[in-house]
Order: sequence, then C-alpha cells, then structure tokens
Amino acid sequence: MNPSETAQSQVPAHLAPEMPSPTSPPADAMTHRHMAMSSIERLTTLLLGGSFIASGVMRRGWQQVALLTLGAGVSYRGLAAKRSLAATARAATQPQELHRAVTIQHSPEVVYRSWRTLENLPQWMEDVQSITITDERHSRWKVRGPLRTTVKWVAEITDDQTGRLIAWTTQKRSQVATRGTVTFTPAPAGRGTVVNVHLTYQPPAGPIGAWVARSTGANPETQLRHALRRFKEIVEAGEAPTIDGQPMGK
Amino acid sequence: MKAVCWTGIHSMKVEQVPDPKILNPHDAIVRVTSTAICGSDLHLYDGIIPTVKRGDILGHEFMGEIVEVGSAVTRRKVGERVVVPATIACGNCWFCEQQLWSLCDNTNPNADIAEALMGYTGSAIYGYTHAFGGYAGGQAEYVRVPFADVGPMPVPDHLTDEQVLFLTDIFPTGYMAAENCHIQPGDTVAVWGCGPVGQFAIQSAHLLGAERVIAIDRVAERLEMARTKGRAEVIDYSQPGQSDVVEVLKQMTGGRGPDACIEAVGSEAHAYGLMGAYDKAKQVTRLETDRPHALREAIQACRKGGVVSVPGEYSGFIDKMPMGAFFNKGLTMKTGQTHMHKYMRLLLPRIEAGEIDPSFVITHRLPLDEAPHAYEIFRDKRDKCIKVVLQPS
Ligand SMILES: NC(=O)c1ccc[n+]([C@@H]2O[C@H](COP(=O)([O-])OP(=O)(O)OC[C@H]3O[C@@H](n4cnc5c(N)ncnc54)[C@H](O)[C@@H]3O)[C@@H](O)[C@H]2O)c1
Ligand SMILES: [Zn+2]
Ligand SMILES: [Zn+2]
Repeated sequence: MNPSETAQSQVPAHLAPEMPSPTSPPADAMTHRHMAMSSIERLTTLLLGGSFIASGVMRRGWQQVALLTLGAGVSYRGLAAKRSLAATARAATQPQELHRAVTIQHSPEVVYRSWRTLENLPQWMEDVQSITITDERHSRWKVRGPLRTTVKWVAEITDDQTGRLIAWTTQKRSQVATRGTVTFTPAPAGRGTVVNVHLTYQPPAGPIGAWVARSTGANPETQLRHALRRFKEIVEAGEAPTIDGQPMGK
Repeated sequence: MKAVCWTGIHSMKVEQVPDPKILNPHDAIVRVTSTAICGSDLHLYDGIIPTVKRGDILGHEFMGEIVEVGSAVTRRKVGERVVVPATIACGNCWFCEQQLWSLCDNTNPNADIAEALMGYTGSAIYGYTHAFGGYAGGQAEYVRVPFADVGPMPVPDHLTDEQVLFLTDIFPTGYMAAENCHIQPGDTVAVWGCGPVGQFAIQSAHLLGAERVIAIDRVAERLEMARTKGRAEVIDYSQPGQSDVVEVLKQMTGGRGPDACIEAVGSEAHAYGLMGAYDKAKQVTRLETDRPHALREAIQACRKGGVVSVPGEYSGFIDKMPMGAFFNKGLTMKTGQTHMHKYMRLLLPRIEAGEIDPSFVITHRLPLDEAPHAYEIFRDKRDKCIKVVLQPS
C-alpha cells in the first residue's frame, strides 16, 4: 500500500499541534473525543432519520422539505458522526486536528499548481470572501464566520516544494489560529494524485464558538470536506456542479 | 415552459415553470422532442425513494434539439439532434476514464446526502431525487444538460425519435444486465420482470448468444411481448402450478437451474402470501426500504456458480437476504446504475444496422399534458400499458 494513502499523520514535526500543556486534558478525555458513536446509537438515529424521511414523503408542502432535510440530517449523523455532541463541546477549547484525503486525476504538478494559485481559492473554498496576495509568501484572508461575522487573517507559507508540498500558518495577530500542510503524492498505476491535508486550528471564541459553528453547519470538518470536493471538481471537471437557478414547480 | 412536476405521492402535475438557463460553462439547453416514463420514475411516484421535493421536474429518458450551449462547450453545436444519457458524467475523473460513467465523482451537487447513505456518491441522474443531484428532468419542453460535450450523442436523421429514444436508459440497461451475465454457448438466462427493462434484457440476452431465455412476470400482455417479440419461454407465476418459480425453473432446465438470472424488477417487487405481506409491512414502517422478493427468488433459482445480474433498482436496505444460498452456491452478483454513455454509443450502430428496433416496447404515445394519466396507467398496468412516450409539442 502506498504510505501516502494511509491516514497516518505526515505533518512535519514543526507543524505538530501545540498543546497548551498546563491545561492539557487527561488522557481519557482525549480518547473520549475520538470515541465513535456507539453502533446502537447510530442505528437508532438512522431509523429515526428514516422515519422523518418517511413522514416527510407522506406530508405535503414546506413541512415536507423541512422534515426531509431533518431526516437526511439525522440519518447523516447516524452514519457519519464520529463523536457525540457532548464530547464535541468538551473538546472545543482544545486545538483541533483534521486530516482529509482526496485523489485527483491529474499529475502532482498540475494539482499543486491549482492549489498554489491562491487567487483561485475562493472558487472552491466556500465562505472565503477574498484573498489578497501581499507577496510570494503572504496573503490576507477574509472569511465568512458563523452568524454573519467576518473573520480575517494573514497566512504565511512556511514551506513550498513545487509539485510536492505546501505548508502554511496564520500570523500571530490573526483572529484565527490555524496551521496546515497539503501534500501531493502520485497514486499508483495512473490513478492521479493523492492530496493529503492536515489542519490544526484553534476554534474561535472558545467552546461556544465551536458549538455554534458546528450547529450552523459551518464547522471546519464540513468546510474542509466541501473544499476538497470542490477543488477536485474544478481541477478535474472544470466546474463545480450546481442546480441553483434551475426551474421548479410549485 | 410546461414541465411534469412531482407534487406528492401519486400526484404528478403539468405546471408552467420558468425556462431553464445555462448555469455552468459546460451546459447546453435541449428542446425536448420526445421523453418517456421509466419504471424508475414509479419508485418516486410511489414515494419509495426519499429526497424528492414538491415541485421537482422528473424524467431521465429524453432527447431533442440543442438550442443553446455554454461558453466552454466545444464539441456539441446548436441545431444538433441528440439523445441524452440518463446519468450525468464529467468525462474527466478516474471513473469516467474507466468507462464507469454512472460512478462519476464530480456531478452530484448533493454528494453529502449520497455519501451519508452509501459512503460515496455516484453520478447524478436527471429528475431523480436530491440524493442523486436534484437536477430538473426532461419531462418538460426544455431541459438543461450539464457537461454537454460528454453526454449527448448526435443521432442520424433517418432514425425516428422512437427508434433511438431508449438509448438514453432502458436499452443500455437491459444490455448491460445481459452482458454482466457473461453468457456462454448453451446458457439459459432467466429474466424476472417483463417491464421495459426486462424486455431489453431479453432481447440483449439473445444478441449476446443465449441458448434460451425464460421470462417471469404475472402481467399477461407483458409476458406476451416477451414471448412474441423476445422469443422467450414464459412463466406466469399467477397461474396455478407456476407459482413456485424456483421449482418451475429447475424442471425447465433439466434440474440444473438457469446459468444466469437477471432481476429486472427492483425494490417494489410484488409477492403473494406471507413473505409479500411481511415486506410490505416493513416497507411502510420504514424498517426495510426495499422489497426484494424477486432478488431472493433469483438467488434461490440460480444454478451453482452462476451469475445474478441486477438492473432492478434498490435504494436502501433489504431484509432476509438469502446470503447462505448466495455463498454456498458460489454465486456472483453484478449490478449498478447503467454506464449509459458507453452503451448508447455501442448500441446505436446495432439499431442503424437493423439488428433491433427498440420502438417495439412502446404501447402509448401521449402529449406531455397527459403525463399524470400516463403515470397512473403505467403504474397500474391498465390499458395494457408497457411503455409511454410523451411528446411536449
Ligand atoms: N440499473 C439501471 O440503470 C436502471 C435503469 C432503468 C430502470 N431500472 C430499474 O429496473 C426496474 C424495472 O424497470 P421497468 O421500467 O421495466 O419497470 P416496470 O415497473 O414497468 O417493470 C417491472 C415488472 O416487474 C414485474 N414484477 C413485479 N414483481 C415481480 C416478481 N415478484 N416476479 C417477477 N416479476 C415481477 C411487474 O409486473 C412489471 O412488469 C425498476 O426497478 C427500475 O427502477 C434500473
Ligand atoms: Zn429510466
Ligand atoms: Zn467523471
């Protein structure tokens, strides 16, 4: 197996998350954070989701759509949730680590170049309003935060290896503290390029902020998932699919 | 424009809606000249597959004339007469490169829902729920076609709409189902369901060299079509003495069983007796989303080491799957949404060569305005309805 495809963290040591050691949570809290929703819990939410979907189908009008969405949401939680809400809230003050991978059907050079062209990032990162390039290594970001806020930061590229890797960090006085690295590795036998993203971030405004972000859907996990999907769509297909603006009956 | 909208279970309405616009650079707009209702649409009509919204325009089998193209379209031109595959594919991802078009990575704007339900999303499908992208379908006067350079295929003028329309879905679907059987000389292929998909599976099994085809259904005119147009032997399981389909097949095949079984029924299979009642109750209460009676029967009937090919559609969970029979008989199952883009290009020459005329399945030709009535008779199998073609103008 290609090591780049494993979920093992490949973050260079200097980018490892800084744990504020005096307030580090006890080890069991950490395991709790990564604890999967129990399978019974998952099954129950699934069935519950199913019944919302079912009654949504039976009903008419806007309620139906609401119920359907709810159903899909609850089912989604059941299928995909990795942590319980309580664990999330507990974990919110800690720096969060994210890893996500996607494979793109192009050479590492092409994929690297698409990523490195920072001006294009707002196309595939939802919520990024603008990126201003200030020099080779620095850029100013304006991003929509939860509840109609705008979050700003200055990003600095700390490592840049053409066709292989980009690492960045936000500068000291930024509102958001994140650092991240993206690697581009060839997948075997013409399967394109594996893009691995590792992010470490400090949730804005403590646990409440994280909880709000999470419950409005604008949480970093979702954002990263959406960003990588759109990135792939744009690099491979030349556009992100949409149905916004198509006709519909009453 | 006029469009056929889903407005609730068993409620379709022809409504006046805005004309579609180009939304992405690779889009085209097609003026629909012919469109059909599919057995898959019945799953939405019956409310079996979730994430349909009130007002959604249905229809994934349609063809017509290109009237507008987006700025990035290079191969297709305004004025071309095209058939449009039911699934939407980008043409550039690994799956598209492998000709696994219905598994395209990049066309579902609602990939979140599909990933939650299945782990990964496949391609989007026109007019086929929001889990499959939520794209407005082709049972309308006009339709927006994304990735116009990849999907739509021009068709020659000397072929009529009726001869080429089914390249959009059911002919490729029947053909892929038969191809998945890896038919060898001497093989007997059994086909559950004599709806349009079953009919094309029967025809295709012959095209691919089956020795015998046995068709199973309970609707007289559909069995008749399988017998006369499809040269199939038939089992009418509603008749006394033929209700034990597994046993009847066994005796018809010298005690060996069919070499391959095609399940062209899907998630709303009909069943008599206790098992039928059991599935229906579970489906209504959502403890099971799909009723897999024909699938169970196909697994049971298949000869040892044979293939069960499933074009019939499933969307969620099934119950009482005879996994023991499947395992111990060493069966292979092949299934999936059809790779329309591949098969439509393969099959057009066979129509041109006169090897098959797909219009044989059409029993009803109606104006688009009569779509609600058409859905009703197709679902209830009234008026000997097997396949309806709707004309928008
Ligand atoms: N894989 C694909 O890409 C694809 C494409 C098109 C359609 N489909 C699916 O194929 C299936 C058939 O489509 P169709 O248009 O022919 O639909 P249809 O509803 O007209 O045909 C289904 C037939 O199955 C028969 N049937 C029901 N229960 C049966 C049983 N227990 N045993 C034998 N026959 C039984 C019905 O009487 C009917 O004639 C549907 O599930 C549809 O969604 C799949
Ligand atoms: Zn169809
Ligand atoms: Zn694709």
